[in-house]
Amino acid sequence: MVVRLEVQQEMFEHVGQDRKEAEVLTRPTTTYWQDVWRRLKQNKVAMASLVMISILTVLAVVAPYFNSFSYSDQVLELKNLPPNETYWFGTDSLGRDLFTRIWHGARISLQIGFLTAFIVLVIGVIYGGISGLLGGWVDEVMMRIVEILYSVPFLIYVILLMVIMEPSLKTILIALGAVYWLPMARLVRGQILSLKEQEYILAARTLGAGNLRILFRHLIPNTMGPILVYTTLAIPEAIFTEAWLSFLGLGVSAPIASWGALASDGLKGIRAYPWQLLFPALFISLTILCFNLFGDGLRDALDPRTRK
Amino acid sequence: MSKILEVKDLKVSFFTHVGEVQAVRGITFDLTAGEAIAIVGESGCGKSVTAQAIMKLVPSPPGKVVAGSIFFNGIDLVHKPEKEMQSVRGNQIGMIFQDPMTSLNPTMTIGRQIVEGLIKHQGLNGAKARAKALDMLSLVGIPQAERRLKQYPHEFSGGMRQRVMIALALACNPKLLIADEPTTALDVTIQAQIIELMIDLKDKTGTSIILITHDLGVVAGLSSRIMVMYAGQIVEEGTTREVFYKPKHPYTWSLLKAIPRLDEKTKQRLVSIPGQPPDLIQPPSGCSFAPRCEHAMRVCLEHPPQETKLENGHRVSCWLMHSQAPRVLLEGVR
Amino acid sequence: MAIALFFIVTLTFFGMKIIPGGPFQSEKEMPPSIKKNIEEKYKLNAPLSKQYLDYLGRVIRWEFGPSFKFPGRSADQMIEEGFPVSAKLGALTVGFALIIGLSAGIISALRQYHWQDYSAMVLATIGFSVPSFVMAGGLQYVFAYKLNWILPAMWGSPQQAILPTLALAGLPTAMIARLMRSSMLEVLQQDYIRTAKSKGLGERVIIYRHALRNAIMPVITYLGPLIASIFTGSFVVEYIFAVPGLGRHFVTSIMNRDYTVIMGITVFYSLFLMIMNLMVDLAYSAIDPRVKLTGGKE
Repeated sequence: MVVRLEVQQEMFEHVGQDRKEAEVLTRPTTTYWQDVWRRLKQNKVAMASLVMISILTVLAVVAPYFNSFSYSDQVLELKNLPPNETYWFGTDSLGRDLFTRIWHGARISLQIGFLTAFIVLVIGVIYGGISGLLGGWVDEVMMRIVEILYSVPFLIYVILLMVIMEPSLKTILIALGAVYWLPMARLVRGQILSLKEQEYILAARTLGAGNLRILFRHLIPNTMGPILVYTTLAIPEAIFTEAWLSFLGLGVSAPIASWGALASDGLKGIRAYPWQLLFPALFISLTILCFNLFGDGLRDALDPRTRK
Repeated sequence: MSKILEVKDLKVSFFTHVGEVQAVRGITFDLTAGEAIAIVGESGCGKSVTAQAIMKLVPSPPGKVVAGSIFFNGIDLVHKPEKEMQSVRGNQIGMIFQDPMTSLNPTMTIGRQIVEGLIKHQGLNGAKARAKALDMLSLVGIPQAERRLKQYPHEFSGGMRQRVMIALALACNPKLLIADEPTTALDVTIQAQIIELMIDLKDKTGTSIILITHDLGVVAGLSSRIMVMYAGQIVEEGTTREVFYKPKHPYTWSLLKAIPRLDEKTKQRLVSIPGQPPDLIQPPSGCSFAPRCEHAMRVCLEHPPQETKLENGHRVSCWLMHSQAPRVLLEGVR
Repeated sequence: MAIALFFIVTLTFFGMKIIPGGPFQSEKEMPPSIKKNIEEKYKLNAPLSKQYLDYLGRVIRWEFGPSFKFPGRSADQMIEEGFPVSAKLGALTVGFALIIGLSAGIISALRQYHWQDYSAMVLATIGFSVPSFVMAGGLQYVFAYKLNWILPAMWGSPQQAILPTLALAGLPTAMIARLMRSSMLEVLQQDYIRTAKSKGLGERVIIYRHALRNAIMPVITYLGPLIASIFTGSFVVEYIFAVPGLGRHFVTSIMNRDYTVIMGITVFYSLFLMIMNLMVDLAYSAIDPRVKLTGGKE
């Protein structure tokens, strides 16, 4: 439908290009980390997990003080009680308060999780960093070593190490750290190599020093992403492995008990006293779940492809 | 000659969480059987979406044909149910895409990829289909066709892969071939070969062709008519000669000026069009090219231009065509 | 691969030697004559290097030595007995994980954002967060003790295989479902799927003939770690369900500090895993025509 428009003559006055307007980008831009945080916040599941983890951590610190029992006091007459008013989670086969023991277990498990992740990050970054930065035959040799170590299933290493060393918090950390740094080293090295390549391209374009600094603000955050994700996901892995080791009797020794040990004890009484397994199992699963969900959320937030 | 394709006032939008992106804002054009036309425009102008709409390949959760009609040989495509559409695609309308590297299934031999269309649409059995596939490969100029049938896409070079794509698309003798940026991902010399091939095939088989590209350079030999699209609308349409030698829309002028010429005697600056295409969530109320147009007038910013029909089927949507507009001289355009 | 094997064998040997006390420490009932025999046979009093060489020789001949805790049974005997049982459990688990996991992943990808997707993904997340021993304990409690549907333990009848398989399959199924889903989603975005559609192919054909073959790649890559995780899961699951498999022997040998058995099973596991990994590589190259079998891999 064509409508003949009545147009005044002055409307045909020349205006020309609107230089300013044309160059304005129509949507506001954000920095990389702002964007990541924004996307992370949108992910309700990941946020809920983060909250849960914080709650668990805080409780691990303070909850043992909620009641007057310690984790090792045995009251044999009151053994194997189901949850009641005094013993909120019940008692175990030696009359110890499960509530307190669970939260002490939380301390152990969370410590192991966080510390392992930290150790793995440090070792991995150093090893992978040196390998990646130096390159050449050093890189070859270092990566060859990693490959060989890689070919044996991790758990076998861990088991062997624990059998050799006396199980304790320290030795568990050593064993876990000695094994889980391998993927981290490979990852770090890979990221450094890609960083070097981009740096090389930058240099070839002979930019001024100012631009280099700006681009570092983009390049480094970009490569940090996967490293951050792996570190986060290493925590539930460590907790899982530790629980598993404790279950086999290779974990932290009594009377301090990690969740895995509590679960192992609980299993013995499963027919009659199911709560003894229920609580540790619940907390292990919940913690691992939350870390995994958060790690997933983090990975999605960092991945440019999932940007909506 | 009959009209093989009639598109009227087509509007396609994408409904995203930031709003409705109006990718195609009311375009109308026809295609005669045996004809080859080109749709030209920069990235994001809606030309690919138009092609996808014809094939009903617009990704349908966000995208939707909101208005308009598409008639192919008199058949209404917009309202065709999916099942029936499957016998149109590959069979009556074929399509080739921009990147032949990613457009072929890497884990399937190209023989199989050609043959499956033949089996589905023409009901050929295995042996006959294979024979036809061999014919197609020879037709598109791939030597040693027998051996090639059993090979995988990664064993072909870029230009060869695009030939395979063409063979694939034309295997069932469709009446219409839509080529969406077929040469963009290829080297310049290979581009020429592919265009030559398409000209050759058009002459041999009488297939109508819609060539979509942002590169005016490849258009000249193949298409008889050119449509210039900008921001979801057709701003100019005409025969190839008319558009190249007598462009009437400032955007078309800019596109032509932007093509560097090898026979320039003096050093010419490379001309580019300043600015960016408009935001299609809030399309401008006036002419969409006005902010970037050096001949823009006040009326251009406030009212969308009306279409002016010139001779030889040449039409333009520009306020400069209005009788009250000042005469503008185009410099530098032959 | 040979280097790695050599490495693990050496590691195990020296590992065992480092442990203070030696193998006879808590074994008081062993008659001195038998003890002497064993010492002679395994050269326990010879210098370390000689012991090592002897050990290597024995490993090659597939003799791992006697169990120090159960006189009269040797480590290789235990391996021979336990392996078929574990293999069967493992095969059931892999089968279950693949069938359920792949289906769930594909359905989730096709019905993204619908209830099938959400529920499958929730289950999958639970599946890989809940440790296998928790799963095992829980299943045992619910189905065997409370509901009395199934026998709680032991091995032999098909019915007894259900719970261990489920407990063991939790993690792998979840991983496969997740991998398949994300891989499928990615593949469906690819250009060649668009080409297939433009040829007028039907949805089912596109999914099964075009998409699946490409989407399954990550799952195949995962098969190696999958098998490894089934191993490690099997230790606990077999123990809880009293399945007389290799895993349970391993667990008991660890708990009893039965060193020869630990060594033997460790070496065996490593070898087995390496063979499995090799087979996975072969499978991968058979499916993806772009991968050539060379010595080096990414």
